[in-house]
Amino acid sequence: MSVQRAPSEPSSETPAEVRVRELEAALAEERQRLADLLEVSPGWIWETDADLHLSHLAGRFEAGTGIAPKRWLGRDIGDLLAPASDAPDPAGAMRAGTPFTSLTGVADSPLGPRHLMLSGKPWFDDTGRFRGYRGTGRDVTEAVEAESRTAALHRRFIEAIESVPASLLLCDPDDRIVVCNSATRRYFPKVQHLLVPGTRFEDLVRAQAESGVLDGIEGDVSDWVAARMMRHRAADLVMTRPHIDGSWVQIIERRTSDGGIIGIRLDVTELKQREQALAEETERAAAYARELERSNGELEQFAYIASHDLQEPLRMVASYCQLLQRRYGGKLDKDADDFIEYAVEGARRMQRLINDLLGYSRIGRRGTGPENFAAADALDIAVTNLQGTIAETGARIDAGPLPTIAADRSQIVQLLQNLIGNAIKFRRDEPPVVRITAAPEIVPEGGTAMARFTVADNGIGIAPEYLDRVFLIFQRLHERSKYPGTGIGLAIAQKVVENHGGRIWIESTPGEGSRFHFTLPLGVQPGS
Amino acid sequence: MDTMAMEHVSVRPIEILLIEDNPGDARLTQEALREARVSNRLSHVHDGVEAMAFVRREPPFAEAPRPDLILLDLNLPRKDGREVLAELKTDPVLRLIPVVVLTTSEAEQDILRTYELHGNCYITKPVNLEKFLHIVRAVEHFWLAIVKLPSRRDLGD
Repeated sequence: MSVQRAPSEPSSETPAEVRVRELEAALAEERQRLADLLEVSPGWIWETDADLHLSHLAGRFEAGTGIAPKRWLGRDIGDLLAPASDAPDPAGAMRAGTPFTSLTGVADSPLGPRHLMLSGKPWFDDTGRFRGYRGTGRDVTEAVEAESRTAALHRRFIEAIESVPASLLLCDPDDRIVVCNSATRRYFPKVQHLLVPGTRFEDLVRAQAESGVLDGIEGDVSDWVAARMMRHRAADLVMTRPHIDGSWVQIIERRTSDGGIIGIRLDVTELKQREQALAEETERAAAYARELERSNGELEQFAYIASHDLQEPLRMVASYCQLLQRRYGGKLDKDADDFIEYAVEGARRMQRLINDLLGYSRIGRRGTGPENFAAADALDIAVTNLQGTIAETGARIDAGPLPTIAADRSQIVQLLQNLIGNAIKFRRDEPPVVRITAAPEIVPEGGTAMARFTVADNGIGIAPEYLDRVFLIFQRLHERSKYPGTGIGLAIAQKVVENHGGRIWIESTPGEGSRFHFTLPLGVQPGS
Repeated sequence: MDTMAMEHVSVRPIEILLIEDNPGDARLTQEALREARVSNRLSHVHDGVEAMAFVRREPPFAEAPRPDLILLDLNLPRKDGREVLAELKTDPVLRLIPVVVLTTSEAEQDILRTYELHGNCYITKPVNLEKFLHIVRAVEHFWLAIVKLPSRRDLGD
């Protein structure tokens, strides 16, 4: 605040005195201005002597830094301020004797290390002698820490996107590259120089297309780029595309919250190859299945035709052998009778084989299709059909509760008849006992519900080494005179079961009996 | 009825036409009929064309007797047995002659087709001689001794 003399006493002063007074007033005003400025400034002013020892501090020094000015005054500025980084620091600049602006040094403080930003210039006396430095200072610790936190965050972000094995490419709302990780280079092998912030995404895409690494670009590249950019701008994209080197890249593009787009690129070559291998494998399996089905069909057709057509000439052979026997039996000699007998018997056996083969080939050709019926009904019919044999051998047929099944009724009758007939045929000296039971079969989820049937007998059983042969067509394990038959029964049983999507297998203990197991699809019980 | 049939055949033998391409089968039928109780005369043609010529008395069968019973095989050369049956059964006079289909086929559609074409019965040739003889005798007995056939006048004689 300046002080004005009263105008009533101006004349008592000499002009020099007036001059002094005026200068004093100006000085006071200048001091006041400085004091005011320092009072409102967030910083401070400082001054050193010619040896760069701090000689003056004024303003908000202690309030900002937490350092008492008396601890600093008189000390070498180089001891007080250490360089904050590789950048030029205030003490260095002062030692070099140059003016400086906004250089930061680090000072010890009871509050911890403080970043102080100083500006200063050397000052000289009237004679031009260097008298020291003076300047302003400011505590920028908070700003520096905030900046370093930001830098650390950025570093972590970069580390994070670098650790992703996919390419990440971020574009701003103007569709220019903001950042991408180094994995991105793999996907743009010939235009890596464009993978820098500021590149327009469209320029990158065009350069990539023109570089020839993409496969399947037909026609004009500009059209392709236009179409690609349309999809890019929709920013809701998942696509897989081939590269010329045979690799496959999956591209995912999504809108970011600020209106930019993040693109993710993944090498899915291995996945694609596996997918293709699987598809090829599936196709091969399907082709194999078709081929198998065709050849099975042909085989069945062949068996049918062969057995049907064989019957015709065989009927002639058999009939005329029998006619010979009828007309000339006992009229020639003993040898002739024997020969005719062998021929008749051979023809008869062949007729049985052909009939069986015909029957076998007819399974699956005929039939009424699946219907729901009680397995017990089929068993009743099978047992009735076997009544003669059962009575003759004194066999006992027991059955547990049997479920409703979905099957071809006549085929199931034949299946049960063959298995029970088989059990009775291969009996021991005691009367045969055959027991038929059923239980639910455990099937994988989503599979057809199946029942497992068991036909157990107390017969002669089968040695383990023959178990896998019993279902083969015309496979006989015993001499014909002891156990007659062509060996078709179990082959037919197996075919019936497999026609119904089931499986059949056998367990046996020689001398104790056999257990035939087979599965059939469960039916829906009427009214349930 | 039995007596009447016997009286009927006592006048003259029953005429049977066998349409069969397999000589072995034809001979077997012949052999079986040789032992027949009823006096019969068997004529044998080898295919459908001959068969139609025979029943229509066209050359070289101008002098052929009118058959009382036809035994027809289905699988024949030139004209198939099914065609023969169809032609016989659409002819206002010939359709009066009973036709016994005697074949190796067990196919459902052959059986159905035979009756659709008004065949009188369908028999599958058995593979066993005894059964074959039995069947021929049964046919002979049924058609020649039991049933009453249309009179020759009705057949244009």
